[in-house]
Parts: sequence; structure tokens; C-alpha cells
Amino acid sequence: MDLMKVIQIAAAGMQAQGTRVRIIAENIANADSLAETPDGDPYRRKIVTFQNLLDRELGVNKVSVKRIRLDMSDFGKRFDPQHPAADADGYVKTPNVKSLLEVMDMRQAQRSYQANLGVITLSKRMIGQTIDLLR
Amino acid sequence: MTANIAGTLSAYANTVARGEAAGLAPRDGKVPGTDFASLVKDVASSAIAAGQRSEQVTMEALAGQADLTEVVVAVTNAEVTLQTVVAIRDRVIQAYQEIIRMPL
Repeated sequence: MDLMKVIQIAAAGMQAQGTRVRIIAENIANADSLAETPDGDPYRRKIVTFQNLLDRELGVNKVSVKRIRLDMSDFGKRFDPQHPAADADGYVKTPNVKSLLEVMDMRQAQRSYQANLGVITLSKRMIGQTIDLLR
Repeated sequence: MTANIAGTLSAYANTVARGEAAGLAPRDGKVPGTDFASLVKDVASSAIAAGQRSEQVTMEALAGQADLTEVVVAVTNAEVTLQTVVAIRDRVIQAYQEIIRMPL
């Protein structure tokens, strides 16, 4: 039944958005994780990419997490000569996580999750109404 | 639950056989109700399978092996199948009752 497929597609979307929120949580939690030595790197921001995946059993395109890759943009710098990871000039490399960006990303993931949830609720109601025709 | 349904079906088959012995056998040789019995059996077993699947996924999720969304899908599937079975059963039984009430 197509409406049951809808529920499975939306559930896959919810699962993917859940992974995205997990990665955002990692980024936010590690926003202050610095290196221990001057030549070490601090925490590097992670990015989730999605892809459409053909489910041959159902014959539909579901969404799935393609890859969790690292954001290779430059690290920040902070003047902190006391820190063990400070370089010769007294600067410490800080993670390339921007909390504002992460919060916005999280909001977007939440909205997308909500949209998938709405699809499930609606298709469930449609199935229920169709069954009610029999009564 | 499976045993109950099997018992009910055999009781139903017995009743049909008794009706034939009493001369109520159909004229064209077809056994009435066999189709209905197999219909009930099919839909009931599909509902039971969906229910078992939902329980299995729920247990997997409790053990941390399955995602919550999988539980939602399995439980919704079981719920919808059971609703369909109940609706069809009600409707078919209603039709039978109307035939029973028919003045002969």
C-alpha cells in the first residue's frame, strides 16, 4: 500500500535528521575542545551530507546519510600564552565551529523532522479514514 | 491467539459439514464458506505477523539494536493491519447476520 510506503519514507527522513542533530550536538559540545600540544589540531567541525537511496524492496527513493565528513575550513586563533597548545607567538588554534551556524542548522533539522512527522500523521489519518469507510 | 483462531475455523468447518449432512449442501457442489474461512485465516495471520514484527522491533529497540523510527513504522503497520481486519470482519459478519435474519 502506497500510504504505508509513505510512512517508511518519512521515517527514513526522520532517522537522517536525527543523525544530523547528533552531529550538530557533537560540534556544539566540542566547540571548546583544543589541542594539547602546539603542533596538534583542535576539534574539527563535522558536516553531514544526505543522499537519496533507492529502496528496491519498496521501489521508492528514501533519504539516507551519505557521509559524515570533516569541515576543512581554517581554524580560529586565540591569544592565550599560558595554554599548553600555544605556539611561539602565544596563539592557540580554536575549533572551526561557529555556534550560531550550528544553532541555525539545528533549527533547520528540527523543522525538517517536524515536516516528516507531519507526513506520517497525515498518511496515518488518511489510512484510518479509508478503513472507516468499511464501518 | 493463533490456537483460538485455528479452533474457531475448525468449528466453523464442522458446522458447514453438519449443515451438509442435514441436507443443506449447496446444489452446485461448491462448499459454501470455505472462501470466507480462508479469507479470515489469511487476514488474521497477516495481522498476527504484523503484530509479532512490531513486538520484535520493540524488543530490539529496548536492547538498543533498532531505531525508534523503525518501532513507529512496525507498530503503525500492525495497527493499520489489525484495524483493516477488524473492519472487514465486522462488515462480513454484518452481511451474514442480514442473511440469517432473512425470512425463509
